[in-house]
Amino acid sequence: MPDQDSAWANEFTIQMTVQGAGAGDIAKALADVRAHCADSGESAYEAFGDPKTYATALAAELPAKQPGIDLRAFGVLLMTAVAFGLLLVGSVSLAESRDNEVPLTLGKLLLVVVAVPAWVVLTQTRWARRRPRDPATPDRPAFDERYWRALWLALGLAVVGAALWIGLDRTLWSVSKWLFPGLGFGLLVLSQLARWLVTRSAAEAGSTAAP
Amino acid sequence: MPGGSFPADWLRGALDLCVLAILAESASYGYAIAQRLEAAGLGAVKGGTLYPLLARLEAAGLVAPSWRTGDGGPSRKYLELTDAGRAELVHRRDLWRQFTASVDRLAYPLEAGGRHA
Repeated sequence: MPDQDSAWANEFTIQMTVQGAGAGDIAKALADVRAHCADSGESAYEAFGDPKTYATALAAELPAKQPGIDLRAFGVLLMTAVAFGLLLVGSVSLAESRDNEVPLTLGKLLLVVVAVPAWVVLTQTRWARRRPRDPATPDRPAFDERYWRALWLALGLAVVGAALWIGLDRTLWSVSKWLFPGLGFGLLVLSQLARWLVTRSAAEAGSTAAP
Repeated sequence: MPGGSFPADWLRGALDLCVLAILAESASYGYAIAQRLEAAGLGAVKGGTLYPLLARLEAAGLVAPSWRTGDGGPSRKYLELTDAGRAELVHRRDLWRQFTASVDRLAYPLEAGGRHA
């Protein structure tokens, strides 16, 4: 692809992404553009016009994505969330404890396995993070009540998590102060490995969609 | 009308039917469809107009895609009419006939019943 068409393809890809098109759809559309330009001898701009306008028109015709959760990506997100929860509790335990052992309380446990994952899911999942676009003003997010509701819920959960930690302070067991940081670090490494594997398999699926 | 200077709105209104009719002849791909439209006298249809229409037909299940690799050239997405596409073509041909007959009756009031009488 000549430089001029590469610039066109970049702009087209960005606008398709903004419109919510998936990597597979974008790859197929670019394959169509390449084939058409090779046949006609025209540049992408001559054959398809302004890349943003074309991307907007094409994305409007693509079938709507099925609402649903990518379970693998969701699993990675939860692993990362629990890892951060463990690291949070672990770093505080390390700072506050002079002994080798720290108390494992119900509050800490709930914070790690419930509050932190719920907070991360609320703030990081696609529907909360990516606000829909109004076709009339595709360059900026549209107002979406769910987005604000998720932000307020996330704030509430952070407060609840802190309250659990402080309030439910009955010791269940005494554990090594290195347990939380160790588990957290290990889980973080595992989650990033899983994220890499999921991303790689998604990229392979996208590249084989348009041979 | 060779030269293809029809108003763009007319072409947009009839393009679905024309593309379905072309694909009823044989499976084809974007550039070849554009060439066929031009050869039929409808003028040069730009990719920016044609491909969103092809995507719409595909999303509606009227055409089915298959990727074929050319001799040393890039891969091309061939489109083939589905059974639903064939049924839609029959339906649209009937509608088009009725539509043009109605327009004829208004456009040529002196010719009793219009040109399709």
